[in-house]
Amino acid sequence: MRVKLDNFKCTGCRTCEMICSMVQFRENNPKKAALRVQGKFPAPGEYKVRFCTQCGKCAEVCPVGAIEEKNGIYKINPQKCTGCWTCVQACPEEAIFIHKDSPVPIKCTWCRACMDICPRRVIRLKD
Amino acid sequence: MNGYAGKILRVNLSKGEVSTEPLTDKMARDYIGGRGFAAKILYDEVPKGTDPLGEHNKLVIASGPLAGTLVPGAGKITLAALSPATGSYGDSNMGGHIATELRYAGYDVIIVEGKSTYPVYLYIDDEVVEIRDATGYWGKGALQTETLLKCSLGDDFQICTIGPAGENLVKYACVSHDFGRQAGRTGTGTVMGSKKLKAVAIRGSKSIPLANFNEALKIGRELFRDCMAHPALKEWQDYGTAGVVEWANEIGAFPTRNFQSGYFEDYKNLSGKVMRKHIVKNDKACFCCPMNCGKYSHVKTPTIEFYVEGPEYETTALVGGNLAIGKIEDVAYINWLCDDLGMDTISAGNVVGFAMECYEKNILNKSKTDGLELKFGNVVATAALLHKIAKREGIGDLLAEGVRFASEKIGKGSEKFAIQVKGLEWSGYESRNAPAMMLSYLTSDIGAHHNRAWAITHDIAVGRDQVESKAQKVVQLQHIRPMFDMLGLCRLQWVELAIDLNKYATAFKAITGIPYNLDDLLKASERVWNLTRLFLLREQGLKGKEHDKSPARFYEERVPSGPTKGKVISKEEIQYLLDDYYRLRGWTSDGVPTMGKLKELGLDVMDIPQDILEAAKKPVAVTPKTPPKKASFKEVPAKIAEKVPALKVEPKKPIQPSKPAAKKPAPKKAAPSKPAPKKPAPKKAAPSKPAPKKPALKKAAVSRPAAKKPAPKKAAAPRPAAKKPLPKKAAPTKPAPKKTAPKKAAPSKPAPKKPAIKSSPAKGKKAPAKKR
Repeated sequence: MRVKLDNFKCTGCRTCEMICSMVQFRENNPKKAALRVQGKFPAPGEYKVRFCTQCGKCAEVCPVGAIEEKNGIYKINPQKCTGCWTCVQACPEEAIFIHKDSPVPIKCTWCRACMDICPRRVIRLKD
Repeated sequence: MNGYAGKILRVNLSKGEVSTEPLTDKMARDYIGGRGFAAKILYDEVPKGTDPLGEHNKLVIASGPLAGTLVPGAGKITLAALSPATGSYGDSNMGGHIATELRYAGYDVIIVEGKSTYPVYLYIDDEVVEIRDATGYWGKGALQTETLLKCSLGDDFQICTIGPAGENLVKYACVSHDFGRQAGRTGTGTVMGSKKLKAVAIRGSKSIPLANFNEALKIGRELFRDCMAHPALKEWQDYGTAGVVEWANEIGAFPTRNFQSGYFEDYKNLSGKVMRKHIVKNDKACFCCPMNCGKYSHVKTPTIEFYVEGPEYETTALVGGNLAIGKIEDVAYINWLCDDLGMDTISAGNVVGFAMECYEKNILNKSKTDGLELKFGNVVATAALLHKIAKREGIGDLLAEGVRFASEKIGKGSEKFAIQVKGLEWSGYESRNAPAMMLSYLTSDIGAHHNRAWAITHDIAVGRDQVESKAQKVVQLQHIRPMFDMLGLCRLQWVELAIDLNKYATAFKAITGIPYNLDDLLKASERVWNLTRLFLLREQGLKGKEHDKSPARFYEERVPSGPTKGKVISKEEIQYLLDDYYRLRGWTSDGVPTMGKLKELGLDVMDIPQDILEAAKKPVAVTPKTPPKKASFKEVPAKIAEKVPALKVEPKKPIQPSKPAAKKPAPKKAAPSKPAPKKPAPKKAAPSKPAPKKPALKKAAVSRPAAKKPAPKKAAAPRPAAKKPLPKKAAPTKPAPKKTAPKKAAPSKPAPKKPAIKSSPAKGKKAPAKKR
């Protein structure tokens, strides 16, 4: 856990999703982002960010060893991935996503573009 | 097509057919998007004389090329139709996330035509478009319907719905989305209701192609940095639009008691700070917006608990001030009620305010209001009346038609205080002492709405009594602000955080690849403005200045209280403003775009009726050489003095002395001097007034609010006993040091006048600095 999520500060603007898709996929499509902002409305009127904490649970469950760790960051190797989505179901943060264009699940690669742009500093490094 | 999803979705509810057609390059270049597309499609496809609630009216839901991209505030969608409220082009835009979802689903525009025989909702999941049965949702509140649809379809669907008001064809029904974002104005919800379309649910998964990806990413990041660096951002993040409440009262522009006054004595209870402290639970933003002006509130009392987004400034103004409801929880309650019933809070506040004034003046009595005691400030009666309106029961059936129709029906002089233009109720700025804002309301293409040109800051900056040069600013703003609606953006980042307009043009170029600069975009905006004018003339006929007519209240009655006390705008001034405006627009003195203008904008190729073409041959309007200002201010008071006592809000005394006083100093100095002479006169009654001005000058920018606080408080004091607590709270804070000053100033009348002259430009400087 190197990140601190201040969910109470989140306003649901989804700029993080936008920048994630632009940086990671070079596409203008927040549906291809490695994090999600989820609103609970009308009650209790709160947002929650589903964000990868690099806990490594996905690597543990991957049946083909497609999720590889390097310097504490877990990345999916698309060559090895078979698209079984076991990791999607196992993720405790529900932070691995699927998109119909992509056979490989979408997972955070720790580029930290979201931390830079978030207007409310909801996602930040723990220090 | 870069920057565009590239498709138009056409849904025919009569036939139950769905089809798509490509968006043409010419359409994109000429009309950009959003409101531009809507105006063009409606002008072409809705024939003259169509019944707004009939089968042949169409609802256009359109977004712009920048919606859903990395630009701050990129989440606006326009809903437009032949408006049932005005009988002309009407549109309304809303934020949230539905604009982006529509584009990710692969459509720039949805055109809904025909009429279903049973309640339906539109389901869009990328290519899968279905017209589904909504019988189970019919009759349910807008918030409830959205909750139910989200439960059944999934949280990732973005949904817009109507409430019972839309179903029952209340003329100012709104379309709600994201639990608190509304396209409120001009009755787009009514059109949805007439088509039996309960909701639209959209989910999209596609990308929007960008012409120059790197450039778009760069300019997007730069725009975000600019927003984050601006000092006003924090205040906006904390209070949202509600932060404007205090300022609006300090400048005397807060609609109060059906626009009788521009100052509400209990405004401090409605301010953004009070709201934040007492009811706001969370902040809520539209797509890609760093300002999060949405405030999500939670109110829990022993009898009721509810969540509501807001109240926004406009709601606080029209429900708070205009109905004299001085408690933020009560305003939030009415806000929540309107949201769930699916009614525009601006129009609803205006209509109820109108009914309350009728009741106050004995034009309506209990037998006609179904036993409701419609006194100003009565929250219970307001809530009951709103239910009646939404269900069209009893008096609600009449009031559901809007103030124009209701006043025509009720008669007995109520037309004078039916505050509307073109049939659309006036929004939250009382503008008797703000000519540019007044002109903006009169000439707005959809009726009395503020978003086309929020010119009140210009009035404050250059002098509030002056009418010269005001039209120019209004025309300029009427091109810039609707441009945002065309791009699919919110304009607040530009208005409040001073984002450079050219950067938007850069972003447009990077995203669409269309090599337009700012001037080209503004030209397109002007084209749309003229097209909507043609629409108005086609539907409502050539009525000359009648189209841009002010409610009689504003030129017949003086403001009875507050900082603008005694102010009025004369008919001559309005005439001058309109002539000046028509001239700058290249329109004839009857407000018809001239042939030259139509050719310049490429609109001459449109199908224009013969009578308009004839009228367009006349020459461009001419501005009168001498502004009517001085004459009117001398003459009008005499006539008006008799009418003022009729108002219950303020005693006669303070106004009568102002009459002689106003005449004497007026000739001495030109425009800016006028606010000054009038205020010194009532000083006898309220000695604290002159004082605040002096300190204001010396202290310069920092003391802006302080200057005006003490005076209004005194005006508030003699009113109903219930309101005492407010002055009490306020009293110990600031008036004390100022009381000493007025004593010196009061006896010598000439003294305060001079500083007052300087003070008006000083105020002007302050306001823009705070970016309000």
